[in-house]
Amino acid sequence: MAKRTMTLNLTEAEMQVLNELCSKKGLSKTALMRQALRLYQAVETRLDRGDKLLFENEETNEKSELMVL
Amino acid sequence: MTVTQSKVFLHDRAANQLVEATLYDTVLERHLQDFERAWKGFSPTAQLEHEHWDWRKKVVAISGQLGYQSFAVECGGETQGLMVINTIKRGRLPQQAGQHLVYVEYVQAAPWNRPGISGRASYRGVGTVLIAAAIQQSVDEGYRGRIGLHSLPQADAFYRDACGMTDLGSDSSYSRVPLRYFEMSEDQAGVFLKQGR
Repeated sequence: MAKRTMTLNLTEAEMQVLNELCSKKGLSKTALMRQALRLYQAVETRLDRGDKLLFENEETNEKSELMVL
Repeated sequence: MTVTQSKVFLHDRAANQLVEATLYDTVLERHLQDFERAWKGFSPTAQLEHEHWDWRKKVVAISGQLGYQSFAVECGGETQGLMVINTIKRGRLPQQAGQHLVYVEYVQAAPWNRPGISGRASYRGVGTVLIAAAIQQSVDEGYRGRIGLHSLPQADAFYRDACGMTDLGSDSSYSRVPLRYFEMSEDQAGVFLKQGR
């Protein structure tokens, strides 16, 4: 697939989170941002279909809806 | 849209030799037409668990979704295999729990490529080529070769024995019909690619 390049301006706090996530997931910044975009699109697609985004704790069986604004 | 083609090899059963094939990193219209004309028109002797699959519906459903990618294998002027992967799922093996992997949503070889089919061109190795493509995509994504999938019962032995994946058992959360979940670690992917399974 052909790729395009862009410059991303982030605050220091955002860059710190990006670095932490990259370290945790073992991904490069580019790979992590691509993953974030895919997840964002997947969530939007499901919400557009009328689905809800839920988190479930398997130990407590507690479910909570993530409010996506 | 840019489509990447790669040279791969399949085993021609009749000629008993390796033949050149082409791997596409996108399922094209002609692949879907092959599926609708040739695959559906072919009647294998044994019942196949995925014969109800409709690849056009599957490809349309993922169209434009960045988290999915499709692949096709061509050989002898026909589509020999199709696959859809998902790149936003995460691993379950303890050593890679929570880490991203390439999840194989659907993979299918043309029905004439099942063992024991005679009377037409038939190729061995389609599943292996597609699993290798999933592993390579995992490497390209930065996921170090990690892949996962739910297996139809007829394919359990292939993923466990031929691919060397770890069998994490029946997954009742998958669907109404529980399927076994298999996962491949970075090390297992390395062995798979090195041995050219």
